[in-house]
Amino acid sequence: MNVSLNEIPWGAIAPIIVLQLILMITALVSCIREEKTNGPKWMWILVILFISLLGPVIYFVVGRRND
Amino acid sequence: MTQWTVLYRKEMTEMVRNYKILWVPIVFILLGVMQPVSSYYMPEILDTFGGLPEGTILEMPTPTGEDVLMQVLSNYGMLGVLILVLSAMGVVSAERQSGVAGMVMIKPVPYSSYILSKWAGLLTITLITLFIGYAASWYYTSLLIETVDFERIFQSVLIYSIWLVFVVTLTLFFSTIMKGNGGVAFVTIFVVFGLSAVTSILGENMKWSPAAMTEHTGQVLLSGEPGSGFLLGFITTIAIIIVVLIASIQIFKQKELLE
Repeated sequence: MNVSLNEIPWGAIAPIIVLQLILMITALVSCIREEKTNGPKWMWILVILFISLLGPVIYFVVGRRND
Repeated sequence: MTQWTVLYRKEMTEMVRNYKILWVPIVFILLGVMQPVSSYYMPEILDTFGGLPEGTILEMPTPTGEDVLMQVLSNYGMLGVLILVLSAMGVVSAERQSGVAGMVMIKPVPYSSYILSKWAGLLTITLITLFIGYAASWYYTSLLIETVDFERIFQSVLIYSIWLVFVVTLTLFFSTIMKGNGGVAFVTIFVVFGLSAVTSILGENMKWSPAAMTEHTGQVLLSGEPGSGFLLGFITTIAIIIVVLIASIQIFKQKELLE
Protein backbone atom coordinates (compact mmCIF):
# COMPACT_ATOMS: atom_id res chain seq x y z
CA MET A 1 0.00 0.00 0.00
CA ASN A 2 1.43 3.30 -1.04
CA VAL A 3 0.38 6.39 0.79
CA SER A 4 0.40 9.27 -1.63
CA LEU A 5 1.51 12.66 -0.42
CA ASN A 6 -1.98 14.11 -0.69
CA GLU A 7 -3.42 11.60 1.72
CA ILE A 8 -1.21 12.65 4.58
CA PRO A 9 -3.20 15.03 6.73
CA TRP A 10 -0.79 17.94 6.79
CA GLY A 11 -3.00 19.95 9.09
CA ALA A 12 -2.30 17.51 11.90
CA ILE A 13 1.27 16.60 11.04
CA ALA A 14 2.73 19.98 10.10
CA PRO A 15 2.71 21.46 13.64
CA ILE A 16 4.63 18.42 14.90
CA ILE A 17 7.29 18.85 12.23
CA VAL A 18 7.52 22.59 12.90
CA LEU A 19 7.96 22.01 16.63
CA GLN A 20 10.67 19.43 16.04
CA LEU A 21 12.43 21.90 13.75
CA ILE A 22 12.22 24.67 16.36
CA LEU A 23 13.68 22.30 18.93
CA MET A 24 16.50 21.30 16.60
CA ILE A 25 17.33 24.87 15.61
CA THR A 26 17.35 26.08 19.22
CA ALA A 27 19.70 23.28 20.17
CA LEU A 28 21.95 24.07 17.20
CA VAL A 29 22.08 27.79 17.99
CA SER A 30 22.81 27.04 21.63
CA CYS A 31 25.49 24.50 20.70
CA ILE A 32 27.26 26.78 18.25
CA ARG A 33 27.19 29.79 20.56
CA GLU A 34 28.48 27.80 23.50
CA GLU A 35 32.18 28.30 24.07
CA LYS A 36 32.78 24.78 25.25
CA THR A 37 30.49 21.79 25.36
CA ASN A 38 30.91 18.53 27.21
CA GLY A 39 32.68 16.55 24.54
CA PRO A 40 33.51 17.63 21.01
CA LYS A 41 31.20 20.18 19.48
CA TRP A 42 30.99 18.55 16.05
CA MET A 43 29.70 15.40 17.71
CA TRP A 44 26.88 17.30 19.38
CA ILE A 45 25.96 18.97 16.10
CA LEU A 46 25.66 15.55 14.48
CA VAL A 47 23.62 14.23 17.41
CA ILE A 48 21.24 17.20 17.22
CA LEU A 49 20.85 16.93 13.46
CA PHE A 50 20.41 13.21 13.07
CA ILE A 51 18.61 11.93 16.16
CA SER A 52 15.19 13.46 15.92
CA LEU A 53 13.54 14.68 19.11
CA LEU A 54 15.90 12.79 21.42
CA GLY A 55 19.08 14.37 20.05
CA PRO A 56 18.33 17.97 21.06
CA VAL A 57 17.01 16.79 24.44
CA ILE A 58 20.17 14.83 25.17
CA TYR A 59 22.23 17.83 24.13
CA PHE A 60 20.33 20.18 26.45
CA VAL A 61 20.60 17.77 29.38
CA VAL A 62 24.16 16.50 29.00
CA GLY A 63 25.96 18.63 26.44
CA ARG A 64 25.74 22.03 28.02
CA ARG A 65 28.06 23.13 30.75
CA ASN A 66 26.13 24.51 33.66
CA ASP A 67 28.17 27.58 34.42
CA MET B 1 10.23 40.53 49.53
CA THR B 2 11.98 42.71 46.97
CA GLN B 3 15.11 40.57 47.30
CA TRP B 4 13.00 37.55 46.59
CA THR B 5 11.62 39.21 43.46
CA VAL B 6 15.13 39.99 42.23
CA LEU B 7 16.23 36.41 42.80
CA TYR B 8 13.12 35.08 41.12
CA ARG B 9 13.73 37.31 38.13
CA LYS B 10 17.30 36.03 37.97
CA GLU B 11 15.92 32.49 37.88
CA MET B 12 13.63 33.32 34.99
CA THR B 13 16.32 35.13 32.95
CA GLU B 14 18.55 32.15 33.44
CA MET B 15 15.86 29.81 32.13
CA VAL B 16 15.47 32.01 29.07
CA ARG B 17 19.20 32.15 28.57
CA ASN B 18 19.73 28.39 28.65
CA TYR B 19 16.62 27.88 26.50
CA LYS B 20 14.92 25.83 29.20
CA ILE B 21 11.77 27.89 28.85
CA LEU B 22 11.63 26.79 25.21
CA TRP B 23 12.75 23.20 25.02
CA VAL B 24 10.99 21.69 28.03
CA PRO B 25 7.50 22.83 26.91
CA ILE B 26 8.18 21.78 23.32
CA VAL B 27 9.12 18.28 24.43
CA PHE B 28 5.95 18.06 26.52
CA ILE B 29 3.83 19.26 23.61
CA LEU B 30 5.39 16.67 21.31
CA LEU B 31 4.91 13.93 23.91
CA GLY B 32 1.30 14.94 24.37
CA VAL B 33 0.49 15.31 20.68
CA MET B 34 2.07 12.12 19.43
CA GLN B 35 -0.21 9.93 21.51
CA PRO B 36 -3.52 10.95 19.88
CA VAL B 37 -1.90 11.02 16.45
CA SER B 38 -0.44 7.55 16.78
CA SER B 39 -3.61 6.02 18.20
CA TYR B 40 -5.62 7.62 15.39
CA TYR B 41 -3.37 6.22 12.69
CA MET B 42 -2.67 2.90 14.38
CA PRO B 43 -4.73 0.86 11.85
CA GLU B 44 -2.92 2.48 8.91
CA ILE B 45 0.46 2.11 10.58
CA LEU B 46 -0.16 -1.59 11.17
CA ASP B 47 -1.39 -1.90 7.60
CA THR B 48 1.71 -0.38 6.12
CA PHE B 49 4.46 -1.62 8.38
CA GLY B 50 2.91 -4.44 10.34
CA GLY B 51 3.68 -7.17 7.81
CA LEU B 52 0.34 -8.82 8.46
CA PRO B 53 -0.77 -11.33 5.85
CA GLU B 54 -3.14 -10.09 3.17
CA GLY B 55 -6.75 -10.13 4.23
CA THR B 56 -6.21 -10.07 7.99
CA ILE B 57 -9.08 -8.25 9.58
CA LEU B 58 -8.11 -6.41 12.70
CA GLU B 59 -10.78 -5.43 15.11
CA MET B 60 -9.16 -2.42 16.72
CA PRO B 61 -11.40 -0.82 19.27
CA THR B 62 -11.06 2.90 18.78
CA PRO B 63 -9.86 4.31 22.08
CA THR B 64 -12.03 6.92 23.70
CA GLY B 65 -10.69 10.41 24.19
CA GLU B 66 -10.33 9.74 27.90
CA ASP B 67 -8.20 6.67 27.22
CA VAL B 68 -5.87 8.64 24.99
CA LEU B 69 -5.47 11.40 27.54
CA MET B 70 -4.76 8.85 30.25
CA GLN B 71 -2.05 7.45 28.02
CA VAL B 72 -0.65 10.95 27.61
CA LEU B 73 -0.55 11.42 31.37
CA SER B 74 1.18 8.11 31.86
CA ASN B 75 3.78 9.19 29.29
CA TYR B 76 4.22 12.39 31.28
CA GLY B 77 4.58 10.22 34.37
CA MET B 78 7.55 8.40 32.85
CA LEU B 79 9.33 10.48 30.23
CA GLY B 80 7.93 13.79 31.41
CA VAL B 81 9.11 13.27 34.97
CA LEU B 82 12.50 12.13 33.66
CA ILE B 83 12.88 15.29 31.59
CA LEU B 84 11.70 17.60 34.37
CA VAL B 85 14.10 16.05 36.86
CA LEU B 86 17.01 16.12 34.42
CA SER B 87 16.35 19.74 33.54
CA ALA B 88 16.07 20.75 37.19
CA MET B 89 18.82 18.61 38.73
CA GLY B 90 21.46 21.34 38.86
CA VAL B 91 19.21 23.99 40.31
CA VAL B 92 21.19 24.40 43.53
CA SER B 93 24.07 21.93 43.23
CA ALA B 94 25.47 23.40 40.00
CA GLU B 95 25.32 26.93 41.40
CA ARG B 96 27.16 25.79 44.49
CA GLN B 97 29.86 24.16 42.44
CA SER B 98 30.36 27.11 40.13
CA GLY B 99 30.41 29.51 43.07
CA VAL B 100 27.37 31.51 42.02
CA ALA B 101 25.54 30.49 45.19
CA GLY B 102 28.45 31.77 47.26
CA MET B 103 28.40 35.06 45.39
CA VAL B 104 24.69 35.47 46.02
CA MET B 105 24.85 34.51 49.68
CA ILE B 106 27.70 36.95 50.48
CA LYS B 107 25.08 39.65 50.22
CA PRO B 108 22.59 39.75 53.08
CA VAL B 109 20.08 37.50 51.39
CA PRO B 110 17.99 35.24 53.61
CA TYR B 111 18.57 31.57 52.92
CA SER B 112 14.84 31.06 52.65
CA SER B 113 14.55 33.66 49.86
CA TYR B 114 17.24 31.91 47.87
CA ILE B 115 15.64 28.46 48.10
CA LEU B 116 12.10 29.76 47.69
CA SER B 117 13.04 31.73 44.57
CA LYS B 118 14.54 28.56 43.12
CA TRP B 119 11.39 26.69 44.02
CA ALA B 120 9.13 29.33 42.48
CA GLY B 121 11.20 29.27 39.29
CA LEU B 122 10.88 25.49 39.06
CA LEU B 123 7.17 25.72 39.77
CA THR B 124 6.69 28.28 37.02
CA ILE B 125 8.36 26.22 34.34
CA THR B 126 6.74 22.97 35.47
CA LEU B 127 3.21 24.37 35.47
CA ILE B 128 3.62 26.25 32.19
CA THR B 129 5.01 23.11 30.61
CA LEU B 130 2.29 20.82 31.90
CA PHE B 131 -0.57 23.15 30.98
CA ILE B 132 0.70 23.90 27.48
CA GLY B 133 1.54 20.28 26.73
CA TYR B 134 -1.75 18.98 28.06
CA ALA B 135 -3.75 21.66 26.24
CA ALA B 136 -2.06 20.73 22.97
CA SER B 137 -2.81 17.10 23.63
CA TRP B 138 -6.44 17.88 24.41
CA TYR B 139 -6.74 19.88 21.20
CA TYR B 140 -5.36 17.04 19.10
CA THR B 141 -7.50 14.48 20.86
CA SER B 142 -10.67 16.43 20.20
CA LEU B 143 -9.57 17.00 16.61
CA LEU B 144 -8.77 13.38 15.81
CA ILE B 145 -10.69 11.22 18.25
CA GLU B 146 -13.41 12.85 20.28
CA THR B 147 -13.96 15.83 22.50
CA VAL B 148 -13.41 15.35 26.18
CA ASP B 149 -15.27 17.43 28.68
CA PHE B 150 -13.29 20.57 29.51
CA GLU B 151 -14.20 20.32 33.16
CA ARG B 152 -12.63 16.87 33.45
CA ILE B 153 -9.53 18.03 31.64
CA PHE B 154 -9.20 20.99 33.94
CA GLN B 155 -9.69 18.99 37.12
CA SER B 156 -7.35 16.22 36.03
CA VAL B 157 -4.57 18.62 35.10
CA LEU B 158 -4.91 20.40 38.44
CA ILE B 159 -4.59 17.13 40.35
CA TYR B 160 -1.72 16.01 38.16
CA SER B 161 0.11 19.27 38.69
CA ILE B 162 0.24 18.54 42.45
CA TRP B 163 2.21 15.38 41.69
CA LEU B 164 4.64 17.21 39.43
CA VAL B 165 5.11 19.96 42.02
CA PHE B 166 5.97 17.21 44.49
CA VAL B 167 8.52 15.80 42.03
CA VAL B 168 10.31 19.11 41.42
CA THR B 169 10.28 19.93 45.13
CA LEU B 170 12.04 16.64 45.73
CA THR B 171 14.54 17.49 43.00
CA LEU B 172 15.26 20.81 44.69
CA PHE B 173 15.76 19.04 48.01
CA PHE B 174 18.24 16.52 46.67
CA SER B 175 19.97 19.24 44.69
CA THR B 176 20.49 21.08 47.98
CA ILE B 177 21.88 18.17 49.94
CA MET B 178 24.01 16.53 47.23
CA LYS B 179 26.92 17.62 45.10
CA GLY B 180 26.92 15.98 41.69
CA ASN B 181 24.18 16.70 39.17
CA GLY B 182 23.98 13.10 38.01
CA GLY B 183 23.60 11.81 41.55
CA VAL B 184 20.77 14.26 42.19
CA ALA B 185 18.88 13.08 39.13
CA PHE B 186 19.50 9.43 39.94
CA VAL B 187 18.34 9.62 43.55
CA THR B 188 15.29 11.73 42.71
CA ILE B 189 14.17 9.43 39.93
CA PHE B 190 14.80 6.40 42.10
CA VAL B 191 12.66 7.82 44.90
CA VAL B 192 9.89 9.01 42.59
CA PHE B 193 9.56 5.81 40.59
CA GLY B 194 10.01 3.72 43.72
CA LEU B 195 7.17 5.59 45.39
CA SER B 196 4.96 5.16 42.33
CA ALA B 197 5.67 1.44 42.19
CA VAL B 198 5.07 0.86 45.91
CA THR B 199 1.88 2.91 45.75
CA SER B 200 0.46 0.96 42.85
CA ILE B 201 1.38 -2.39 44.43
CA LEU B 202 0.03 -1.67 47.89
CA GLY B 203 -2.92 0.36 46.62
CA GLU B 204 -5.29 0.50 49.56
CA ASN B 205 -2.63 1.04 52.20
CA MET B 206 -0.96 3.87 50.37
CA LYS B 207 -3.84 6.27 49.96
CA TRP B 208 -1.82 8.98 51.65
CA SER B 209 1.00 8.67 49.14
CA PRO B 210 1.65 11.57 46.75
CA ALA B 211 1.90 9.04 43.93
CA ALA B 212 -1.78 8.24 44.50
CA MET B 213 -2.44 11.63 42.88
CA THR B 214 -1.69 10.11 39.48
CA GLU B 215 -4.38 7.48 40.08
CA HIS B 216 -6.90 10.11 41.09
CA THR B 217 -6.09 11.92 37.85
CA GLY B 218 -7.15 8.87 35.89
CA GLN B 219 -10.31 8.52 37.96
CA VAL B 220 -11.26 12.12 37.31
CA LEU B 221 -10.73 11.65 33.59
CA LEU B 222 -12.84 8.52 33.43
CA SER B 223 -15.64 9.27 35.86
CA GLY B 224 -15.41 12.95 36.67
CA GLU B 225 -14.80 12.23 40.36
CA PRO B 226 -11.51 11.56 42.16
CA GLY B 227 -11.29 8.20 43.90
CA SER B 228 -11.85 7.75 47.61
CA GLY B 229 -9.13 9.01 49.86
CA PHE B 230 -8.33 11.93 47.62
CA LEU B 231 -8.46 14.45 50.43
CA LEU B 232 -6.06 12.41 52.57
CA GLY B 233 -3.57 12.11 49.70
CA PHE B 234 -3.93 15.78 48.88
CA ILE B 235 -3.27 16.90 52.44
CA THR B 236 -0.25 14.63 52.96
CA THR B 237 1.22 15.66 49.62
CA ILE B 238 0.97 19.36 50.47
CA ALA B 239 2.36 18.63 53.95
CA ILE B 240 5.30 16.69 52.51
CA ILE B 241 6.02 19.49 50.04
CA ILE B 242 6.11 22.07 52.86
CA VAL B 243 8.26 19.87 55.12
CA VAL B 244 10.71 19.13 52.30
CA LEU B 245 10.98 22.84 51.50
CA ILE B 246 11.66 23.77 55.12
CA ALA B 247 14.20 20.96 55.36
CA SER B 248 15.93 22.21 52.20
CA ILE B 249 16.23 25.71 53.67
CA GLN B 250 17.57 24.39 56.99
CA ILE B 251 20.12 22.11 55.34
CA PHE B 252 21.17 24.84 52.96
CA LYS B 253 21.96 27.05 55.97
CA GLN B 254 24.36 24.47 57.38
CA LYS B 255 26.17 23.81 54.11
CA GLU B 256 29.52 25.24 53.19
CA LEU B 257 28.84 27.51 50.27
CA LEU B 258 32.28 27.66 48.78
CA GLU B 259 33.83 24.32 48.16
